[in-house]
Amino acid sequence: METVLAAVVGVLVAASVYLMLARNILRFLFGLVLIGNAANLTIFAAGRLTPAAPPLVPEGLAGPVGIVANALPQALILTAIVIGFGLLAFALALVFQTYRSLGTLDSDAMHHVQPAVEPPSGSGSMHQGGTS
Amino acid sequence: MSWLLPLVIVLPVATAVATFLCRNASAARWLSVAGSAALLALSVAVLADVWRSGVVAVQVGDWPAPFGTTLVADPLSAVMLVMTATVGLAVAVYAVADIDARLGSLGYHTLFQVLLAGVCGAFIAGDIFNLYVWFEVMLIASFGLLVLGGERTQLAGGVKYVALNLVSTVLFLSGIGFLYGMTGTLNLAHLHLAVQQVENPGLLTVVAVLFMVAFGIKAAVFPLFFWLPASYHTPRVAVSAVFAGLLTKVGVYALIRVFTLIFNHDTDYTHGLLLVVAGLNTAISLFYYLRVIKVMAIDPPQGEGRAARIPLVSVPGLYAAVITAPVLLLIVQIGLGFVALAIRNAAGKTPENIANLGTATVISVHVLLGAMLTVTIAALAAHVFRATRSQR
Repeated sequence: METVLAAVVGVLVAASVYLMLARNILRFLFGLVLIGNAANLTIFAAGRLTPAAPPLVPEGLAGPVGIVANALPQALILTAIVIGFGLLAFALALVFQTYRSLGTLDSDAMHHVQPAVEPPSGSGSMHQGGTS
Repeated sequence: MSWLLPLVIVLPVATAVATFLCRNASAARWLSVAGSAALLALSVAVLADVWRSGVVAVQVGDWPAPFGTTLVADPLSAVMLVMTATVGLAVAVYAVADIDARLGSLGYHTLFQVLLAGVCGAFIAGDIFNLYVWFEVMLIASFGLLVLGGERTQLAGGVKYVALNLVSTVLFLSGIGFLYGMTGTLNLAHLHLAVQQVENPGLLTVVAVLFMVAFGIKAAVFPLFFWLPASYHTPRVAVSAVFAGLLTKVGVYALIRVFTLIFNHDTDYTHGLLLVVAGLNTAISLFYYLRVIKVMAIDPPQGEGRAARIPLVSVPGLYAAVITAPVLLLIVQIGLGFVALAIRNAAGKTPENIANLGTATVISVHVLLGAMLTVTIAALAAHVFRATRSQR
């Protein structure tokens, strides 16, 4: 089972790296979704996969009886999923707003747009400098 | 007095809620100032407590140490808390003038206080997953602050900032996963002992480098800093100041913590690498710093010189010059240089020595930065003086 999980993580990371190398930032975000899930699966595998009973403590006892599954990785992943979901929702909204405002999703174009965004301060002051 | 420690997180969160509920713009501003002032008082009390009675630890929910979440303050965390609160108060006061009612109603004060809570939480986290959670709290607030107002440059810079920080987050999370798989614990103090029993030191070094890259992106060290010049200059000064004063410091702090407490098995490799990175950073940032100083103080203010290309003689231009990315880089990088030296010297020594050394380093770096800031302001003043005179 660990082998399968390791292979799945490998495929997810490969696919996400491929997507994240794209210039389109929406593709980059999809890559980020995949690699986030790969990280979660890594934590899950790191907590040892055991076909065991749920980690429940019977009433009146101090600890669980027999071999039980490790609950901690699941708690960690749950936290990571919630955080990842929040960050992703924000990132998607940001990308959408960026697209509406700049009219492009190409990260190179975005880089080149940047100086042209503020012509009043840049070119204007240079012009003043020339005339004064 | 260990009940003081959780308050360091609770207080900014409470202030954030209060500013969120407060519909009156000027009242929200002063709430933010009051909250930050109270945080400063609180963190000084924590520092005094740590000074008197050594390391203060709180087991959240009374779960015993390696199983529950631990909040812990040693001298290094306490000093960082005081610095955070100081920067926080200064920025909150500055924001009274800089942040208008529109940005206030968009949530500047709330996000700012949440950010303070995240930074404070990161400094007192005694558990590496808890550290991750506070990093995220801080990160989401910083995303909001960075694009607040939604200018075009802010959005373009914000995309880079968000993208690279999310990558760093994933690396951090995977590193935690691997570390947990090898040691079976997440408590920082327990990890210190547990890593000594790991039978595969090579894998531990790989994880160490994962952490180094993850925190290196957060701290904006030389080969990983590209998001910083793209984004830091775009938001309001009251936002850039928080970023420069707090966010990257948390990355440096996490590097100190992790590389003194956990990854001590192969110091020739990991700490050697840190030292090389720190040296490069110091060299490059000094180069840019001197260039900025030269442009401001020596080059002719108008006409043929390079200074003509920097429109300094306007109020926004002045702000932009003060927070120019190279100077910011320097502020972060010099600190990192000293820190790596300290870590390298301290590796293998007792935790108390390391904590004291870390504290001394942080303080001396800030004294040095104070001196450099004075030089910067003097150079800027010279520039403005000559520029205004040549205009007459």
